[in-house]
Amino acid sequence: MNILIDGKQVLAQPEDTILMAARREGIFIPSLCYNEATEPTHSCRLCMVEIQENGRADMVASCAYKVKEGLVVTTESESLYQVRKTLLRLLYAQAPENSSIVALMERYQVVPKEKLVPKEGQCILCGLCVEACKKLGAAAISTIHRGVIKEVNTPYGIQAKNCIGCASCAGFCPTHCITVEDTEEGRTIWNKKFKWARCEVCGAIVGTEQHYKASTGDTQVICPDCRRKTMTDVFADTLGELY
Amino acid sequence: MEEENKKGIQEVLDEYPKEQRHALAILQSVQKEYGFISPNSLMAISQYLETPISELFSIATFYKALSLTKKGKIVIKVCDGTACHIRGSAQILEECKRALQINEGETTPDGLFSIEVVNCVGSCAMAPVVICGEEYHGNVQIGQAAEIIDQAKGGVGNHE
Amino acid sequence: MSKEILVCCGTGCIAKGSQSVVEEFQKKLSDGKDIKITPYVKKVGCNGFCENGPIVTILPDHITYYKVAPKDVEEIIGNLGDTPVERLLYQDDKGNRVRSREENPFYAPQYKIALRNTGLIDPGNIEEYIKAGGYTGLKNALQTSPEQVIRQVEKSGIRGRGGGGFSTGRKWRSCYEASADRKYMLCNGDEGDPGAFMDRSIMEGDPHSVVEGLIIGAYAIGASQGYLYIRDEYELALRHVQRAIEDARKKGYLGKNILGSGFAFDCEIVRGGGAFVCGESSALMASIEGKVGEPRVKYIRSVVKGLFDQPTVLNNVETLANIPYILTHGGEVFAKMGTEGSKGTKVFSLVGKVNRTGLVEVPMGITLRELVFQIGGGIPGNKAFKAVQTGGPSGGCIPESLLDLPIDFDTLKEKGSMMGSGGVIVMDETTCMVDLARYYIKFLSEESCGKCTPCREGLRHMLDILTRICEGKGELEDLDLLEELAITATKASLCELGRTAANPVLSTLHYFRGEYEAHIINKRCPAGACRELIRFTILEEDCKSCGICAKHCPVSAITGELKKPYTIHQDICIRCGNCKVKCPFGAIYVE
Repeated sequence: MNILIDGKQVLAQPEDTILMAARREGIFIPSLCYNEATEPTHSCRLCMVEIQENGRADMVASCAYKVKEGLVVTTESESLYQVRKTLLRLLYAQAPENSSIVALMERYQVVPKEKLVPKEGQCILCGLCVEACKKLGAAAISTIHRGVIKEVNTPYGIQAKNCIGCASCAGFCPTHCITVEDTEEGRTIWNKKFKWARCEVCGAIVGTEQHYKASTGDTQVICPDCRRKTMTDVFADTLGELY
Repeated sequence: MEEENKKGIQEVLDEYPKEQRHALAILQSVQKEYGFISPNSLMAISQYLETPISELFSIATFYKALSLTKKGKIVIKVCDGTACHIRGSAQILEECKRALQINEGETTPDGLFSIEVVNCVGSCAMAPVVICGEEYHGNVQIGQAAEIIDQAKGGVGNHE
Repeated sequence: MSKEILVCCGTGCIAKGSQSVVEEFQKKLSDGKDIKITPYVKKVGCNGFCENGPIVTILPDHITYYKVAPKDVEEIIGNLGDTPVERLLYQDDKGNRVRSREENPFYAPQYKIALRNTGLIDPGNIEEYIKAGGYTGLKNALQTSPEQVIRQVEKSGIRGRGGGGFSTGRKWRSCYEASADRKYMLCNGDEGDPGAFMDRSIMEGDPHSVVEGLIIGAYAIGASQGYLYIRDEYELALRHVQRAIEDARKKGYLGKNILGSGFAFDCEIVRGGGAFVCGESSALMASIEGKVGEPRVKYIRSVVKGLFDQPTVLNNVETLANIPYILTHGGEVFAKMGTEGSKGTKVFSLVGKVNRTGLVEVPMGITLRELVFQIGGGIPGNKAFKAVQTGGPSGGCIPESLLDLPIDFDTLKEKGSMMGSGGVIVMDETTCMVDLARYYIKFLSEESCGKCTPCREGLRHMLDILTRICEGKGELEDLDLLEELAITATKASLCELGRTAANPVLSTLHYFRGEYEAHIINKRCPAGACRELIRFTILEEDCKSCGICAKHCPVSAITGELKKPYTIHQDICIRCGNCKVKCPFGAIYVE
């Protein structure tokens, strides 16, 4: 279907959100908590846009609003600017000096407000880590409490039994606030120590022992390259006989 | 002596079908039976519902009806609904804190009393309201909170 | 002679000892007196006038007694059929003792629809509900089509009584038109607005009206399963609604083939977990699904995709309590009352600094002045009226200049507030409006689900700013920052809690900016409430050296001797105000 974004005709798919359609067209809408690989959390609210539908005007989150025929979207306006300005200031107060937030502030020429007392840590509670852990990991972390003291943690703040040390959470975090300590021996994350699983052929690190077990179930530890080589040898042996 | 009257955790769980939607109700039953939700209880529920512990922990910390720590035998709830607030609930809270020498959210060292500030309990026409255990006290005057707690202390003494 | 003695057993009167009054009546009446009293003493639901409880009503004489103690019971029995016991009757504003509710200025202007049975029937007895006309609405509904039921509701013009004010008829129609193999009918009994207790009283005192409303709604939209989400803190309401459901099942009003119509529907209670945000419809549904009560985006409405992603209607307790009436008497009768945009009656909880506090059900369109001064009897202690707060934490304050505003959904919204669930909190000159804003923001900062940035972080900073202002550490530019945060929360929050969170701040700033400025510029609290900014002082010429103040000072900050005025030591004083309250000569004042 056709929708209008900033006066431009854009082709959109039926299940698209405004943000998906805009991104495909290369139209910029700021966002921090959106990641195609996970369920959306709709939490940062930076992606708000103005819409016109059946004569009704509204401000909606583009990562959540599904497109409809005849939708008219505006991504830049004075009121949107005011909202983004305050949101960026609020985000900055949670994660001062974070490069993504600072970059957006520069783009919109927003100066931080000193009166907004900063919070401890760099978490903006976007929820991506929790979603990533649910999808790719072992559902070891979650949001705890509610209201202004809401935070992300493992149950009781101690090492989680089911954490496999995959660090998907850290990979998805837009403010890089999840501490991952990698050494020669292993990894420490969320207060839990892991040992590396090393390829039995070449010695390369394939991940933590628990992560490897969870993703392959193999008792033999072998890295992707060596596995490919082994398979090639197997094929060569089998096919070799034919030729 | 009280421990004997408590059900085993499995008995509590078996009252519910193994469906995610009963998570909150199960946690509330556990809360009612034991006065709080222990790590073991959480683990048992997690296995029963096949739900990750992190999710149950999230629920247990989200809802105020659930507590991960044991509360006192008698919980003193000071209502801070709007009607109670403008009729002086803040003073009453201070009185309770002074009388028991603990802050809100805490329990006395002997495990007898806890103080909690609660949201509107719906008895606004009798504001300010203090709930001592199961008893509602309305139109609490300045100085009365200390009396209510003294009475409760006496009551506990009688039952021991 | 045949008398009915109704003793109020709502939560309020029970707290004041009405259980003992019931027991005393039962004991004395079974002592075999000459006068045969039939039928009996009846425990009824909340009479809505809790401060004056325990309340006892004698029928058919229509005599109502207040503040009845067990020791009064013998005299009441002795006077049955005779002149009433004067000292237990209510005294009106002119000082006259009045017998009946119709003469009581609190009850007289009321017109009860939602509260029609509350306080008159035994809530645990389904037969009494039926005798009072109950389940007639359901019978009528089942004899017509779902579409015709919806049309009656649309004709009535009834709008959601929980705060949203959305047209109930329109909501039912949208869900009726959605096609799915399974639909849900829900009741929102998570009354969380501080200062509101109408839903509690209805659930305690007339639970069948809610159940019947739910069944009628389910029939209209085509739902086969229903849930009543009831607040965890409402023990009595939970028990009474559970009993009502079980009794309704036994009578065939719930289950397969209801009253032989072929319609099947059943419902169960889901207990809340102590979270205000679960009053929000999508959070409530998440809670029923066994998850945390976090709202979801509602660009696709719940009537299309709600509970378990199926078409769902959620109605408030009071809304549902009106439905049987509408289906018994017809939508047009309901629409005769109220204003153009807001039909019918509304139950308000009139509380705070007002002489007569309690539940008031009146047609929409009554003015605030009538509500506060006529029904409420004005401000105690002859203090000056300052404002009313309507709509709870999502609402705003209405100052004296707007007292003649007729109350309805739209007028209140225009003035920066909202009807909300119907809580009307009256405030006088001793209420600090900055502290009030701080109170609501603190409440919301704990109750917000915490998911989205503008709400969670906005509340965090607004609370920090308001607390500093109340402590005398504010600056003028804080007011600009407050407004900036408030506007962002209003525009960008994910759910209505966040979008209305700033209302208390914005409305108090709008009508009482002077108070904010006094706190900031003069470091003064004009209402004498903010502890960091006030001092208690003993007026030397009025002090009689009785020493009562010193005795009640919890930190021993007052010293003095006989024949000399006492003094309060400001460095030790914690500003609790005990001394001022206890001084028999009014010699202590606040500045």
